[in-house]
Amino acid sequence: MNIRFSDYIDDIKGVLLVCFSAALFFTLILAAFGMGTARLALLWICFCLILFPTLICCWRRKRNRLSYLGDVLDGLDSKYLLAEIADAPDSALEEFYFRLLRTALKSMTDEVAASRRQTREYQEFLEQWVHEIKLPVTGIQLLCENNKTEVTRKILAQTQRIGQDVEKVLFYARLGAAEKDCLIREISLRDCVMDVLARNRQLLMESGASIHTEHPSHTVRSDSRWLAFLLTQLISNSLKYRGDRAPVLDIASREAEGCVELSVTDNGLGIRPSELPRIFDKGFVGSNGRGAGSAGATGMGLYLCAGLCQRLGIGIAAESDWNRSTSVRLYFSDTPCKEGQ
Amino acid sequence: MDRILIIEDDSLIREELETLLSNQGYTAASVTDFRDVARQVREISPDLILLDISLPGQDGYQLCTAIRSFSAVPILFLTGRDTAMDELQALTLGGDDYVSKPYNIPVLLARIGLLLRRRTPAGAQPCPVEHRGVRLDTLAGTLSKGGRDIDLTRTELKIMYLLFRHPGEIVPRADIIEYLWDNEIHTDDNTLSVNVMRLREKLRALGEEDFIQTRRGMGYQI
Repeated sequence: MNIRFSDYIDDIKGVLLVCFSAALFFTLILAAFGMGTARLALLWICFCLILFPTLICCWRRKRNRLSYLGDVLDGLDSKYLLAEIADAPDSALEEFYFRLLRTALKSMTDEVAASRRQTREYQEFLEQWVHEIKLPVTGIQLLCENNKTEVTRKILAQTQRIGQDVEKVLFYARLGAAEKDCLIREISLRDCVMDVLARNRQLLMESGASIHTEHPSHTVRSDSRWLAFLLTQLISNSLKYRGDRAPVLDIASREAEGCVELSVTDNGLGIRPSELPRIFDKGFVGSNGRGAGSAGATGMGLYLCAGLCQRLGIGIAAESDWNRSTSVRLYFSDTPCKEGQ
Repeated sequence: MDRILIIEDDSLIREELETLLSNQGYTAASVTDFRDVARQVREISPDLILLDISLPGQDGYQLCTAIRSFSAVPILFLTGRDTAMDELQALTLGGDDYVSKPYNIPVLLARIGLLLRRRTPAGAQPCPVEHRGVRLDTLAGTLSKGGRDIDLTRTELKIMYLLFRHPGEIVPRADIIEYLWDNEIHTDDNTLSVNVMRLREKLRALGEEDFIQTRRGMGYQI
């Protein structure tokens, strides 16, 4: 991307026009004083011989300068520092442009810094709030546990839902720093799955789910809290989109193509083939999410999962038999093995 | 009797935790005055400490360090903060385990049990138990009567164990299902019915016809 000769001529066509009209004017005067055509032609040739090399020279200088600026820009990580990094301008006009550029970029970086600070404060507030809301939720859980009746069981199931949603907020707020906030350890998939099931048992029991977890026996290297969050989201989706049937969840792991695959399969509504490629998109609410009885689909759950998987280096893929089953698979590997989508 | 000390500043949670732990047969005490907690710990000398991290005055981490300077009592951190850093700090400062709020209560109880058992090797469970001439041996996993044994599956054993613990009482179906869930057997209503049916058949083989009674709409009773 650089300036072409024709563009350059186009830029300075006013100056050229003045040059040629002056030349024409003097030709006419010299002709009026009786100078011969041959001499006039010689003068014109001389004029052109001076003018065109000068033009080409000027154009090349401009072109070199622009390509230099382009290279500097390409080489910079923070492109907004261009005006600070590039060599000092050689013309008054460029100097002026540089000043404009600097002022504009400065105002932009100020704006970005302000917005970044705002985001950080918002995120901190959110995290703080989540920790505060956990206190009453814990209180309710303990109260219900100590006073078991039919009603408190239902309350417990509802608080588990609140807990899930609160977790979602927390993990969304932290998603940007997922790499920093994790402890990668050797974890047993079985323990992790059992923990998630236990944490959501009231919900699962209330929905009458039957659960098969015979096979998750492998160990993987990952962060247990983030993985638990992923599984909770998948399970809560299975319960949410279960349709009229009693939910049957099959959680299994196997070794495949050099990585460990953990799958969560349900017998729910399934996903239409036309919607399958978009389920990991932010805010995507499919026909299931809009359907009756599943109010409040936000299209955030799977988007969060996909974003999290990307940061933790876990592959995620979904397949579905519409109206029969949905299966979401997670691929764990020490080296990135399969990019599912 | 194991004494558990609760250090938690939210009064509702503190009281409910006390109730929960007393229901489980522990002796629960709690700290209500957060000045000089370490001295109170030394006076009470509990078998296990449940420690919250955000406390008025000294926070849980500092307190943990202070307690570690004079005691090796197991410390279980209970906290709302759950970043990887919090967990790491809790464990490196001498905490023994870490449970984040909102707790999953069965998990919490299991961890408490584990920590206490690590400290004092548990005595044998009261076993076998007997009711109306039928003996349940939880270690061998069998039901026996008159010298005849019948093997039980894991699920059946758990169901029988729960019924034997409440002889003569009606045990609601929901309680049984919940109990099985706590023991990592994920059962639904149908599976429970099937298991009880199989248990009845096994009992019939022992010559017990109506050992387990169904109380329609309520639960089972032995």
